[in-house]
Amino acid sequence: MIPMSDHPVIGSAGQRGEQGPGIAVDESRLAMMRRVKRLPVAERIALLDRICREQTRIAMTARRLR
Amino acid sequence: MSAPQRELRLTELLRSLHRHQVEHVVFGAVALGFYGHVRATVALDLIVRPDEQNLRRVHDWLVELDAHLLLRPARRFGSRERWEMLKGSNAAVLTRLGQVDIVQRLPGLPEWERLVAESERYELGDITVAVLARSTLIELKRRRGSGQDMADIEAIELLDRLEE
Repeated sequence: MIPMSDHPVIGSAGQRGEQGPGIAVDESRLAMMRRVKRLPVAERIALLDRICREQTRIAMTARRLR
Repeated sequence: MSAPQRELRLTELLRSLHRHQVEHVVFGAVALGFYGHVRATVALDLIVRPDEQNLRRVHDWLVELDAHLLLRPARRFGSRERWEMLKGSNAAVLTRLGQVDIVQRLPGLPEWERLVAESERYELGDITVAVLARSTLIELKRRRGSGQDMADIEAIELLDRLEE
């Protein structure tokens, strides 16, 4: 985790230009968001496609197990 | 949810929409994916041009995808549903490529011409995808205000703040 004072302020407070501490954002999540954002659109949508399929499979399995 | 789920095959859905020349704007979680934030979703959300010719293309597209009503899975999307769409109804269906939510009416939804003019365009292989302007998506999500909506708004705002 990064220090609270260094957290980016997101949401309406961020829009007002307020400085931290803001809503806690895990550093690894920020790094992941940066990496995903930098992907070419086609790769990003392919990733989304895979995640959605996987989620549906998990949901279907959970339904069968209930 | 009582309806059976089917895998969302997003890229195939977008390609089939293009083949059927359905005039549409993508919104919801898939729009977030185009902006740069990827999170799971079970449905492709679409706003479609609300004129008769386009709604007939939507009907033909859904029939080709063997669409059934989400809340009445035994019932196929057919002429009655097409008639209801012509009257302005929304539709939620399960297709062989996953769930599709089609919207014509939504509180705060701007007129079609404005939606298209302000939409963001993304190249996906050999097709161009129109995606709802992020300011409009934020406004719609703020109106609805669910926990997921607020998380999505935060993600969009955070994306804009991330260094390039």
